[in-house]
Amino acid sequence: MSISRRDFLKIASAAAAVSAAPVFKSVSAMSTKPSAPPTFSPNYCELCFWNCGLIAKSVNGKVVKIDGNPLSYRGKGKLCGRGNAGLGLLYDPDRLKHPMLNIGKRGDPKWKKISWDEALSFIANKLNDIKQKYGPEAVALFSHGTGGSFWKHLLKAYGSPNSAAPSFAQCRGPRDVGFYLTFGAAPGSPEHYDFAKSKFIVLIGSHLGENAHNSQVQDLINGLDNGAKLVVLDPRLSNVAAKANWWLPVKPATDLAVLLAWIKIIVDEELYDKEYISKYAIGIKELKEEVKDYTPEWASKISEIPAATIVEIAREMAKHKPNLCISGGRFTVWYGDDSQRSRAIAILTALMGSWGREGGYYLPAAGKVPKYPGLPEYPDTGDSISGDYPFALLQVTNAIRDAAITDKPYPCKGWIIYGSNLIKTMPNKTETINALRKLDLVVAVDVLPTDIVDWADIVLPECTYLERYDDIGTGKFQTFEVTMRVPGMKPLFESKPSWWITKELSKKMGLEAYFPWNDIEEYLKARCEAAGISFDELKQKGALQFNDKANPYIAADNQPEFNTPSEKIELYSKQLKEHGFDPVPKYTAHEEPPADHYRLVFGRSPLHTFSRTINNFMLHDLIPENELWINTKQAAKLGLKKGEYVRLVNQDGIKTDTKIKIKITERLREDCVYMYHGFGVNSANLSRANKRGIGTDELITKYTVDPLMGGTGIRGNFVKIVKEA
Amino acid sequence: MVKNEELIDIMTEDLKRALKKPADKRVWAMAIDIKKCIGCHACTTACMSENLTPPHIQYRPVREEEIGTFPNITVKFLPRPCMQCENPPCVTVCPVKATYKREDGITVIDYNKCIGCRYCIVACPYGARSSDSGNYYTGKFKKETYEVEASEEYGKPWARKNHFSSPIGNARKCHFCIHRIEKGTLPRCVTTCLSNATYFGDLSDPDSQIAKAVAKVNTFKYKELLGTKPRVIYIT
Amino acid sequence: MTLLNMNLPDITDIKKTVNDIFKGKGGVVLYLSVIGILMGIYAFLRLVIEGHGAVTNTSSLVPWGVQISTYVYMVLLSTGCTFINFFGYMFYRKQYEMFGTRILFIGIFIAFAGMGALATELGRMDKMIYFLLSPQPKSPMWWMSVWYSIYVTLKLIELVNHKRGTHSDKLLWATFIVAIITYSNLGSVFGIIEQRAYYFGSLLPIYFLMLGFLTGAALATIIASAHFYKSDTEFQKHVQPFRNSLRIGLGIAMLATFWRLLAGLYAQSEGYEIFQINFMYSFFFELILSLAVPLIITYFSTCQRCMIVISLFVLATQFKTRTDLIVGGFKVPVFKAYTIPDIVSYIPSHVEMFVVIGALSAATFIYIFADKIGFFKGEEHIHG
Repeated sequence: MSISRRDFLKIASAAAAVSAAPVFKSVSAMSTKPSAPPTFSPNYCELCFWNCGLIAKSVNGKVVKIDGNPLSYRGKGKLCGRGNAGLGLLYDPDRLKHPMLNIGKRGDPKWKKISWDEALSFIANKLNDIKQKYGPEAVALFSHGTGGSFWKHLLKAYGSPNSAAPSFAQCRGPRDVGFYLTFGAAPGSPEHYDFAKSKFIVLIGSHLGENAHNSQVQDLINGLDNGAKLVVLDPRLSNVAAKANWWLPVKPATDLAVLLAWIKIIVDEELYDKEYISKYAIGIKELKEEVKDYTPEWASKISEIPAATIVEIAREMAKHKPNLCISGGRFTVWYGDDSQRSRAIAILTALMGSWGREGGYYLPAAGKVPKYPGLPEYPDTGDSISGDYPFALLQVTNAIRDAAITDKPYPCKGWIIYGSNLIKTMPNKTETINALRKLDLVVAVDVLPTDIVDWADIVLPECTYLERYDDIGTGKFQTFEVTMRVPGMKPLFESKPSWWITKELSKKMGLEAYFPWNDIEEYLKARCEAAGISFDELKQKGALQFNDKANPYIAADNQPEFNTPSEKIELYSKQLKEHGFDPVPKYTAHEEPPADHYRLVFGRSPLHTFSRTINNFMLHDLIPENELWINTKQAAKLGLKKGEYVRLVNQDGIKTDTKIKIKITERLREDCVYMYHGFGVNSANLSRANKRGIGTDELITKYTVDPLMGGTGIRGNFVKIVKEA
Repeated sequence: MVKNEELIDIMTEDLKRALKKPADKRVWAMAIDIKKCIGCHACTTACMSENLTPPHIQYRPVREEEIGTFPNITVKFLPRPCMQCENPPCVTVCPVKATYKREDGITVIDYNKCIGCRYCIVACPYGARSSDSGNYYTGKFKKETYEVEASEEYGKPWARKNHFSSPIGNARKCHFCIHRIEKGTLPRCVTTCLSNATYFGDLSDPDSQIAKAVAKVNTFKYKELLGTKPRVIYIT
Repeated sequence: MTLLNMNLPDITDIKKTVNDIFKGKGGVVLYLSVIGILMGIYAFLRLVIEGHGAVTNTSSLVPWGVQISTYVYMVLLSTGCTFINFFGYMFYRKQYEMFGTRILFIGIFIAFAGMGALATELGRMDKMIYFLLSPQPKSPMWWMSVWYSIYVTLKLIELVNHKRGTHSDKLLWATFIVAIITYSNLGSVFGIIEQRAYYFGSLLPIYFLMLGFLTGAALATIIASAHFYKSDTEFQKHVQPFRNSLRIGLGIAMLATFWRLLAGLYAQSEGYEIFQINFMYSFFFELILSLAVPLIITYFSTCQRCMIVISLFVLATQFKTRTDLIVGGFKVPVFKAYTIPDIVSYIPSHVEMFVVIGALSAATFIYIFADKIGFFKGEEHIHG
């Protein structure tokens, strides 16, 4: 156990602060009935998926305030701009209030309020029908968020292997695959960056800071405060680029050229960590041969970064090895060769010897919370739909979508969509809609009436994270973290937690053997017991850290293991070659914007998580719509004024329904435009967010699939600005 | 050198030490290191939740400022709490002494006295004051209880039940979380800051982190030429 | 009827007038003012029932809107009436005396109506008592309430004197001086705000007095012109001092407006860009159309109807100018973040507009009613 006395004091004083009891009553407040003493429930945030620990304060059975939990590894007592606005989700009057059946059409729904019993019977019958007709694998789950674990469990019990999340093929999949191919492990989530101890940090297109990933931002700033140097490669001066020693405004789609040039310089000048490489890696010779043509001059011509700067940074990196961390960000589905770009980052990391080293990528602590003991075995399932992508680590959402349209490799007839707004997260909306139209069953489980809800046959209202217990959260960092969510109040309306919904559904599906617990506390207690953790302590503190199995850095007695075929770091990947792919990343040029078009680049506001928070009233109050960033010179050329509203037309002639405000800036290259994504919601029931700003999803009609793992590269769309009313 | 990650603990100790002094000997001040601020706006929403501020009112917004031209460009983030001026222009204009400077230097608003003339809002050079026009996020008629729940500003329960219950109709602003500091906890914006970019403490205590932080570096005060003598110091 | 030595209209006259009004013989302006008062009452009820913030479009960015500007406008008008009254008695006693009570009277009720518009602009009307319980002598706004009370009291005493058939030059002087203090003090409410470039400076209190004189002159010209005259010669004889004061008013207003504009254009400090932003408007509307044009017209058209039209035009444009002065101070926000625009715009809500209409209508109604019941009869006797 790693909770010090000081941590205890911290949590105690935090509780005391929030409990600040009224000293005396004011005249105007005389009529308020005396409040019961507040209660405090630990929880972890669900505004994004960093899941920072928090403490919810409740008065008279309502959560009235949330604050960070000092015992949380991912938050360390702090919450970000979104996390602090959790009540904006909890009390959103637009929340889904009761189960609803669509008696209209998908996409043009007419809702009928039904009871939970009716809703669950409807779903169970449909699922059993599909199982009979097509087999259980014809049902797929899309999930994002903590409650998804119960749905995955239900789906496995039902017999389908097709549990997918857009967070893989539409987000960080390529990053993980590139590292997996090289080190036999992904960077993790939260990533195992040892920023606080880094001496040199390189961020490739990462808007770290604007994603407000709590502990990571803290670590990064701590690292910079300790004197680390920072390089940011990004066509836009991101918030974090403003802190950089070198901001390299790279021409979009050419990052790989710079990375390969760096590799060449480091290999040629023998700047790599020789001892480390000879001990842990294979393929340095082949690597040298493969990158021989990637000179800094060549990269400079392509990327528009001066060759001298490329050389300077390569040498600076080497000077600070191994205490340096190169991060390729999280959202990495850009151009379809993204796992290869990630490979280049991984190779560079290996050359610097920073995997398993202080200030680089630390080795995560071990730890496990076993499953609920004594559950029956899952039924055998056939192949998953994503079989075509040899290096996919998880199921590929777009493969499931393809299967629904083409019935290949086999039919997909039912979708359960848990907390993921597929309309906005999947590229080329038309394909998503075509797939949705062909299905026999679409179930949406959500807190809010997001865009996808309008396409469902039946909608189940989930309660928010502040109103429910959830599965135990675990994380392997420099400590092994176990977290728990304790409700601060009863669910509003008729909303229910996923553990309850799945359990009730299992009864109607004849799968109750897989849900033997009476209630969630019994389930959680059993899991805690199996892990040797005190349930009561976890329930009281919300987060526990175990560092007895932590050993973050390579040492004589702490040797790393690499889960690759060679059991070494693979600078040159034979398995890629065997599958017909480049064993070392090769540069390929990507399509350039046609005349009068700009490349559409997008990212995140620190105050919003995709489209999930767009309707949050506190966050909406600050950022109600997105803006189109455009370079000052281009704006002058087009005669655009700050604050004017325009529409966009993409390369396929798709014109946006809604309009977007112009933001004229010097923070962006001239060949691209930038916007926050997640806006442009098309859901009349999201009263605040509906039709505010433009959704990137509307313009992303083209995507390039990464043949290694199925990721959908979506940075290859180009837009033209249309000034019209 | 103090490690960034230890700042909160040390400043909490500073705070407790300062609380032992007589109130008129404390000089509460804030220092914001804009080198560290990454523009995440966590302080803004933390403050909104701490003080239950209604729509369109933020006690601590963060302003973004671009400096330079592409590619020699940077962006600065400027969080703006109340400056707690030594010479507050808002105090002298208040016709009913509803806003005044406490002996520890914090300018407060007595919601019971404030007539809502908004003269202080006109007079504040920083835009740090807002008028509570009685709006609720959750709608005019269907108020969720948390919005009418007592906020703990100034250590008293202020329930925004209707337009005759203060602070509705009054001026509102940042008060350095008096209700927290008097209980020995740092202001919410300080504790939630992901970068630990905000220092808080007793400027008159040379051993305090804040005194040390502003002593050795370049600093500026916002609109200093106006002679308001802000107690919020920006570190560059 | 005589009450406390005052010569007041008889009850029968009042009854007759009320009956006439109910029979539809009150005249268009009176009925319009009644509608206006009803709108004002409606607005007042909305303000009380729903709360100030809920029904007005003022905000943290535009803390003062059209209600404040109406207050400023009306009190300046009232000051102007006091000035005209003073100069009338001092320099044109013969031509002026017959209008004295009228101008005194309307000056008082305009001041009252203005105060009403102001009170309803407070976020918490219910806490106004703190002006007495917790005075802040450093605040120009607090002094405004003090001087305002003295000013209105003096004017009321003056009115009582008139109705008693007496007149005191000492009181006239006293009211004049208090009026100057009161309304330059009102100017200082704005003039001391260093951060609001559009307000700041020692010119503003003086500017307010000049504009006050102008609007007072315009109103007095209307009152004098709306009278019955046997011939144009007689009209010209009586109206000449008013016309002169109107011309002087337009002239000094042009002077003050011009130099305020110029100083603003030269200033480089933060916030002064408002003078650049507003330049076209200030020049063509404020200076040329609303001041220079009427001034020129007074030299060409001198008929009874012309004087009324010109004066109404001046009153209307000055109302607009006053609103733009108050709101102009907020156009460039002192702090920008999130959704705060570079230039803040403000359009009053209908409740705010109704308050304005109600206040103007109340003053109009009281004046016409007083006229109808014969409140000013004694003066006409002087003329007859």
